[in-house]
Amino acid sequence: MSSHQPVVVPVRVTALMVNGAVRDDVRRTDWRRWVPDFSGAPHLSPEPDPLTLDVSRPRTGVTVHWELPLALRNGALGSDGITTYRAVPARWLVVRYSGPADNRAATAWLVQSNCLRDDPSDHTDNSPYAVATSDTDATLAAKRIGRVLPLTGTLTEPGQSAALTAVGPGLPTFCLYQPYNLGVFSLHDDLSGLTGDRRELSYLVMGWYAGDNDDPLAAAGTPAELLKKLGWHLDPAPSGTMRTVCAGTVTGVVWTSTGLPDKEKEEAPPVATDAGEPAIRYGVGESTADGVSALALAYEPSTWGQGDRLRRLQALQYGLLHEFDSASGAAAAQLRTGETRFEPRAGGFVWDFTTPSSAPGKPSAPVRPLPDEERAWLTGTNADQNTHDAAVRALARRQERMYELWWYVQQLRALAKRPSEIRPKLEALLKEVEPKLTTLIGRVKSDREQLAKAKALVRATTPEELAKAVDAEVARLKKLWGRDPKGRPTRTPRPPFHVAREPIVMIKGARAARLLDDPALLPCRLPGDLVAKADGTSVPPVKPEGWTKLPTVIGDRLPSALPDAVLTEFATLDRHPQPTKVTFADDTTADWKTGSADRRVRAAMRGTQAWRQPWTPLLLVWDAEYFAIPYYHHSDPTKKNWEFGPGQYVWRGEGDADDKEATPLTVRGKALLSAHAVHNLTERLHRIAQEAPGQAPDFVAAVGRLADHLSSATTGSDLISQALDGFNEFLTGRCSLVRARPPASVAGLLDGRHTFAPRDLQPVTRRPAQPEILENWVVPPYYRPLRAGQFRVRRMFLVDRFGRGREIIDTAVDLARRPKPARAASVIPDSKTPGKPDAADAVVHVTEPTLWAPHLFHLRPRLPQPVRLGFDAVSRLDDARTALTASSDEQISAWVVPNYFDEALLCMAPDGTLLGELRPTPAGALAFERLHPDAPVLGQASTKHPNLARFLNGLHARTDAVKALQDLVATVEEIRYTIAPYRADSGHPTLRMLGRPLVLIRARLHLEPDADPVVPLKPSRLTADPPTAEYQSYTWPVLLGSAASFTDGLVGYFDQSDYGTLYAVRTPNDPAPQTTYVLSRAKDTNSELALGQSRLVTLLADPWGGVQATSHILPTRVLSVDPDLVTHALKRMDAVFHVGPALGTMRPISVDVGYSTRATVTAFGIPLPVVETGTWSWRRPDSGTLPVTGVDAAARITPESRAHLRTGLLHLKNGLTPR
Amino acid sequence: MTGTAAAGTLTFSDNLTPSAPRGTYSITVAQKLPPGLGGTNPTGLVQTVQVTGLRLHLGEQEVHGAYPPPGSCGPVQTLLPHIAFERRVLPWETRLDWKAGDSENKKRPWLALLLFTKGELVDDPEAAGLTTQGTAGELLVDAKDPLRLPTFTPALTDAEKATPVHTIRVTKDVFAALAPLATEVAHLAHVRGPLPGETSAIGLQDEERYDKDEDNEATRRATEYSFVVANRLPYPGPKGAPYVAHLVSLEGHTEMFDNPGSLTKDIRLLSLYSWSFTSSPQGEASFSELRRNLTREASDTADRTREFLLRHPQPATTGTDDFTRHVRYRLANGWIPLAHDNGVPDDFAWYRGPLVPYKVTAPSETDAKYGAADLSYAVARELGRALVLADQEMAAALGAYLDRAHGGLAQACRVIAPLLDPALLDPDLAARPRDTGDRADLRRAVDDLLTGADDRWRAAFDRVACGEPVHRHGAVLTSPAPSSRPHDGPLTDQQTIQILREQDLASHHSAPALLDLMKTLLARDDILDAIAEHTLGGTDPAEPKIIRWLDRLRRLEQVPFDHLVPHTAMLPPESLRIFRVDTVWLDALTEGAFRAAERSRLDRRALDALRAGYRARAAAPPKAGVLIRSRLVSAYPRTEVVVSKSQADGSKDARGRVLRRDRIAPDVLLCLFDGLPARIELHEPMHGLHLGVFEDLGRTYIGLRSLVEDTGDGVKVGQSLKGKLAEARVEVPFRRTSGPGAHTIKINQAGAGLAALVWDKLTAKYRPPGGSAAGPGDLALQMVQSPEKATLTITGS
Repeated sequence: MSSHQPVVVPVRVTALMVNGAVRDDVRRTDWRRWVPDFSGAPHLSPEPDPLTLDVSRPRTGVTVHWELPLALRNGALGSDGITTYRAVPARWLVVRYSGPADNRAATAWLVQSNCLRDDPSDHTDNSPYAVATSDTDATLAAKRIGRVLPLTGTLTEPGQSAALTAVGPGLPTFCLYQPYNLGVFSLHDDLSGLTGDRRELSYLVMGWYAGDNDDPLAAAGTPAELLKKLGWHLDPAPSGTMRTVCAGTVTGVVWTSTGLPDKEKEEAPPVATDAGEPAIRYGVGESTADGVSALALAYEPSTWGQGDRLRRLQALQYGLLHEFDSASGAAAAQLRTGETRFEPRAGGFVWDFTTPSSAPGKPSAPVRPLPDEERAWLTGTNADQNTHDAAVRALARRQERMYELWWYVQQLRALAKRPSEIRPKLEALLKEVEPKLTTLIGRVKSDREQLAKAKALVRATTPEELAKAVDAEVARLKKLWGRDPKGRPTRTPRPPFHVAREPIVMIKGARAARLLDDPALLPCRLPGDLVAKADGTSVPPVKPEGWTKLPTVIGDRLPSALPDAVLTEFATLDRHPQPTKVTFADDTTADWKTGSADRRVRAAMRGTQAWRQPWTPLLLVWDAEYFAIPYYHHSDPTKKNWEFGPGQYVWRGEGDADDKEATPLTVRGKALLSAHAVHNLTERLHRIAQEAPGQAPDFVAAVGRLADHLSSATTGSDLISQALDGFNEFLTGRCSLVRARPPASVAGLLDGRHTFAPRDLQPVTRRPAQPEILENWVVPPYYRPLRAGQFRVRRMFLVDRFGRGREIIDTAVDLARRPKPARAASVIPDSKTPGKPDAADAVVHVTEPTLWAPHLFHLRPRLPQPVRLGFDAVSRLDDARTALTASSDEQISAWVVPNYFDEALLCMAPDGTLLGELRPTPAGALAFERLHPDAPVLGQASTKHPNLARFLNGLHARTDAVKALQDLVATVEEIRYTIAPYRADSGHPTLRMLGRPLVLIRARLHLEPDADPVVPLKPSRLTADPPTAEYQSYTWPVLLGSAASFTDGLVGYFDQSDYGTLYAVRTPNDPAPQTTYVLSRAKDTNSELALGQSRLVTLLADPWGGVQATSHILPTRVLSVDPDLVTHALKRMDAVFHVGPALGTMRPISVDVGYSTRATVTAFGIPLPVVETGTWSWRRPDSGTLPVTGVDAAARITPESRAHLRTGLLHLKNGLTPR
Repeated sequence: MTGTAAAGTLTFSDNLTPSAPRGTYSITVAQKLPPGLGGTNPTGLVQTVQVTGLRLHLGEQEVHGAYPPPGSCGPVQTLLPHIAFERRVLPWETRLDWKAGDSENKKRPWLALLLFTKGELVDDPEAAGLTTQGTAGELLVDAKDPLRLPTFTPALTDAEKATPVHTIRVTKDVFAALAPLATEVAHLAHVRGPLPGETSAIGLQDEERYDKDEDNEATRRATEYSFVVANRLPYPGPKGAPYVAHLVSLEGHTEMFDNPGSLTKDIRLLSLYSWSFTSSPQGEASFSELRRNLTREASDTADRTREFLLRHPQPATTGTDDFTRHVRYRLANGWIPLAHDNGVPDDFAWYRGPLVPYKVTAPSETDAKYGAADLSYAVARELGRALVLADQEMAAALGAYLDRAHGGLAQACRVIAPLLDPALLDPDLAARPRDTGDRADLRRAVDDLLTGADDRWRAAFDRVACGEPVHRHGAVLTSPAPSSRPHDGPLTDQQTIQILREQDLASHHSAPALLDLMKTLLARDDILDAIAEHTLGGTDPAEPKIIRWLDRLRRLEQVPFDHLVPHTAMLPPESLRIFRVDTVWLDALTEGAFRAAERSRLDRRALDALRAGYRARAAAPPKAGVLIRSRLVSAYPRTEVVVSKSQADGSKDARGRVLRRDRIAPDVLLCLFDGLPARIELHEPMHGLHLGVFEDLGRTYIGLRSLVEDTGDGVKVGQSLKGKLAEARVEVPFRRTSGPGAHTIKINQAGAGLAALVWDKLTAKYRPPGGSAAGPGDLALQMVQSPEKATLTITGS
């Protein structure tokens, strides 16, 4: 007798009814059932290519399939790159009820899911499987898994068994795709022993673990913790020990000898709608948001074509609609949209000292100012970290190449075994490549060892490791410095690298609701919660023959009464599928209705399916033709096919060959549809009122209609949005297929980096052009690293869990009559000639271009590897030093305050100290009045303020310097219109009257690849050190600043070391520039960068705005100055006002001249702002200074001191701190 | 009982008794459940409330003024010294038990003003204002001397005992001679309403409110004072004598005042306030004396007005050359030469402040001939700028406005941009020659859009430009858009493509370059005007700050004195100077204030709009005024200035308002008027409206005034009955005329006092029916002495 509490976890059970009509209904169902083949070479995929597969139809009968709970299907990614899965129940009882409702007959089977066998003759109750040959030899040996035994027969335990998980032998769809798991998670009932043309059947499935080692509820931990970890909801958690029981039923299965299931019993979408239109339509976009836009416009053109509703619809999907209408909302949305078209990749780390968070949820603050020791430590540590991060990335790319080369060698060996004429060449090549592979493996090995030796601080990956390493370092520093470090060293991520997202396919009408996953909290039950009566009536369960053997089979892990209780519920709900009220085993009752809040009812309903012929889309299989549009013209390398447009690259050239000469490339793949492909797509649309209040009512109504249109009427969403996974990699010759792990000697060095392998390698069919190069005797897959071009989808179909297939593009229909796919703006082909906003031109070297132009999707240039547009301030003192957060007090080179009245520039040091004023002299030259010993001298370099000196000298050196200065001030005036207003907390109100300070920042633009390039799959290229790729030499313009965004603060920039020309975001036109000092920033003359190149620029910008760097091949980067630093400088900024004529009198004031001594001096009385710190003084025209004092309106009649006038400078030292 | 004096709305009231005098009260809260609910009534709650009044100490802030002025020396023997309190209820706040019945007790104050001269106070023989100081416990409770001490009921608390107090000791004889009787104290306290014109001290805003709503009881009360008057005239004899007035508390001594003669030993009185003065027939501290000095230059001949003009006296020179004449002309017109430290050695410039002697005319050509520049307006501008810089709040308000303008325009751009043809916003300037970038096409499109929009859309748009979030008006602003291009029926492929491209959030159409649009909007007046209007007229209490500040500025409130009077010779001691106000100077000052915030062309446009908005709302600037530098100002800080409605230059009557009246130094008073009044009157301040007597042939009388309105012969309340009655005066009855306590008036002594005498003499015709003696207010009315007044007549020039 078991003392454990069985937790009954609901599983969904589906049953496929197959008769002759179903099997042969090729119009509706395009059968796509296949099984893996583990007998091939290990570097090849055991899964066949669904595009080339012969039709394989199911057998007559009923196939019952049960879906494991989500917690048992999800894997956990380990730090070694390997995903691990929980064990699953390996014993399943299946009970079938048949016969008339009042006289049900019961039959039962025991499924031994983990039963391993060496290929038995009968394949009807098992599936192909593979296990490692032995503990030491990871080579796979083909086996069969699963066994179904009638409960009436002998129930022997399996001789061999596998450690069973949801992915079985490493197939992600193992537990979901029924043909893979026959006899494991599914069972075929051939209905033998039953008679009649119409058979009404019900099935109960109950599963349990064969031993406690596997059962997650039998692990250590409190019941509540264990349940929480699995997302299984029991409230309250039971007190004792627990065991897992999975249970589910499908009732009302109708098998008929002829004919298809009734229409209402069919889940799959119809072939055509009532209107005769194809039921399934598709569209393509760069993201879901723009795809939905295209669908919306197609759905209600008159509504969505108006105003900026489509933009709002996109903003809503990005969650930006609530701020979309703010002044900078559109620009922010634009940036965000740009970002969603890329995927981030970890960008390494940066260190800083921070104080601990002051309150929960509040971020910790950086320590400022930082003592020199800390700064030195940071400089060193950040350099180490940077080196380490780069080495990690380099290793990852090298591991990829190593796997690719290993695969190459495997394939080459296979090819070399085949008899052929070129076999000697292949063998020779093999001899050449194998040592290279060995070398590469050795290199990876030594790289890994090297990395393992890195300091724990930089190497740490888990939070625990990091905390430990930091603690150790703090202790070390404390000893070294003899004091506690200021704050705690903290590691934060650096900006990520980005890689292009794959094109997104949107499929409408595919009835994908079943894809939706288990809820985050799956309701579970205890035996007392099982249904005992329906509407007060109990139904005595009919027990199948052999039932009494069950306790022996199950053992004492579960209470012996449990199977009876489960069977009672089954019998009850089989008889009363729609009760009003149910009574549970513990005699409590509950209402039975949809949406019940009662956990027990929800659990019971989840585990009880009313039968319909099931349809659960699982895979999207696609086959496309791709027409590359290279960056440069195919015959004229000085011409680019792609032009840097205002918002994106636009096609302004030709294809990859002369018309009619090029051939399209095939791109194909299959994507596993995930729940989130359909999940929540329309939810956000429905939430519009909460997310963005105040929208126009007709817009809100239109969104509501659209949301309804995109959801199926019954259960959730009917829109699949799925990326064409592997598209981008396919172009470089790689693809991701399920493959066996390489032998341990290789796999052990890969850290899981063997997702992608070469697509193919075939012997040549003709003598190669350069036969002396051995690798030319085999043909690697084609390689187009720059993803830029157009594609059309040739075939596309969905495959469901039972292998039911459904074409999305009906190739039988003539192209001219085929429905046009919806195209999002981002994938509509460009007009080849500018100024035609409504044209979409096709690459013309194909037949019937006009006919299938509407089926073409446009892809703009994207690089094949993760790249980061580095845009960081460098130290104001040293161009070679990046001013990351740690040394942020070096970010600002100087402050410049243009004076609009006097056309002069006040210049301040980074901390706000006044250095001097540049102004025209009456003689028509520029003079710099130095007001501080550190101030630069015109015409000379400066060590204290090198960049300010260069800036001033750049102006000064011009022969038209005075006019150039006027142009500069006018440019600032011009661009200020579109720089957001001052921030409210930006200092003393009086300071605003001084003018708006600009910052001078030295910055580096860097087009930084994550690691070595992605190269063609040739041994010579894979083993080159460093490997190179042609795309590395392409140069990409980077545009700085934006005239469209109020948050962009750039006025202009100086390129490299040329301070003689300011490249302005916008040149003024009233008045127009008088000199060539200010030029418009040109998009493709300067600041072009090739991969790996960097460029220094000096930015003149508003301190509160960021500065955008736009490349169109990456998300726009924004450089902004540390706001604390800005506030700090503004607070203590010196101010100088030109004042005069000012009237006043000299009056005695007393001033502190020591700790306790005060002296009386006479000071000039003038109205003065009250400041907390800082002192005012008057600077006379002869540079003498005079104390000043504030005055009020009270009359002081002092005949001895006469009123007089003064003209000069009112100077505030040490800043305006508001009082 | 109230009477209205002929002068206007002067009101006398007998007393103002608080409804809850000092004492302990309890508030009981009880609940009674309705019958039938059952249960017991909840226990009530009792809250004890202690109402305390002043007892041992009188704060300086309670005293509005005392007369004769403390420390003064003057011919005040016909006037009864008095003290005025800010709070009207103060004298009746503490109710003492006089054993005279509730209604009578209520009328009697707890204070009396006793006047002593030389030799009458034990510890202050010279009447210099000396008192005995110590704690209340020491002096009033535990004193060992054989003194009559007050009997406090309730007894003093420990805290009260520790309170430092001032006391005086009075001998029984002196006390008997001068202490007011219990029946008299009520007659020695009353409440007085304001004097006409006195409201200018309240401030302009309040005054306007007051003008509009004269019946506003609360406002009237706020301008009323309570008075306690002495019962004795400072009658010193020919040589003059020092006097000290003590405001004493009557608490604990009520029986002594009931019968002062019953005192058997010296009495200790608590002095709550005291001041001393000298009564002398030869003194000159009186208002009349001082103002006579001030205005002695004035004669009735019109051309003497020039003596009072604010300008530097002409130098004694005999030169008749052009330069000398120019200098004389400059000085005569108010200019002053000032040294200018600007790098040019020994430079000087002419300066004239806003207060000018004559009407300002356009500068003549010769003005600039003599080299020295006239920097008056440059200084004004610079000052305006400096004042804004110096005032954080104003600087912040202007800054906030500029931010709002910039932000508002930015929001406006954001609203308009999606409604325009994207091609108009194309940032690609390369396609357009630089010098033709005036964007007339864009201006036209924006104009069409804004003028074509319906009122609802436009109203919402303006509010968004004024800073309200767009989403608040999203329903109006985004649908239907004024320029939406409706699509009927299915779209062509081309239309679909164009719409999708333009509407792609990532495309440059979605976030077009806004600079040209920003400039286009900035060039329009309507949007900035709306923003300025919103700022100036906003309900946000922080915002009208700008208008108030600038109005104050135009009343020269923040302007340092040396800008007004750049040379002391323009305003010598004991002088009165009249002037006109140069509005051009004010404009320059205002201009400078706006210029302080200007840092860019955008700011300039926005500030222009703000200035235009301000002009439409600005208070009328002062036109003329008077500066008085005199001891009159220090002695009578509340001297009133009243101006005539008639104008000196014969122009239409003004409202005759004093826009500003400020004592900008202890002895300097600056008044600014809304016009150029033909007459300026200086009034003795209101609390100086004395009660007093007049002398005739060595005897002392008070004149009689009617106590009732319209007796059939046109006599109004308060009107003198001179000529109406055979003998319209009553001789003042003194207790004695020499010795200690001489000239103490019998006010109401068993039917024989002044109150009864007045009552009798008034005859039934001029008094209300019933009664047997004049009440406190009635008596005060009889004794009113008209305030002093000096009139300056100005002739237009």
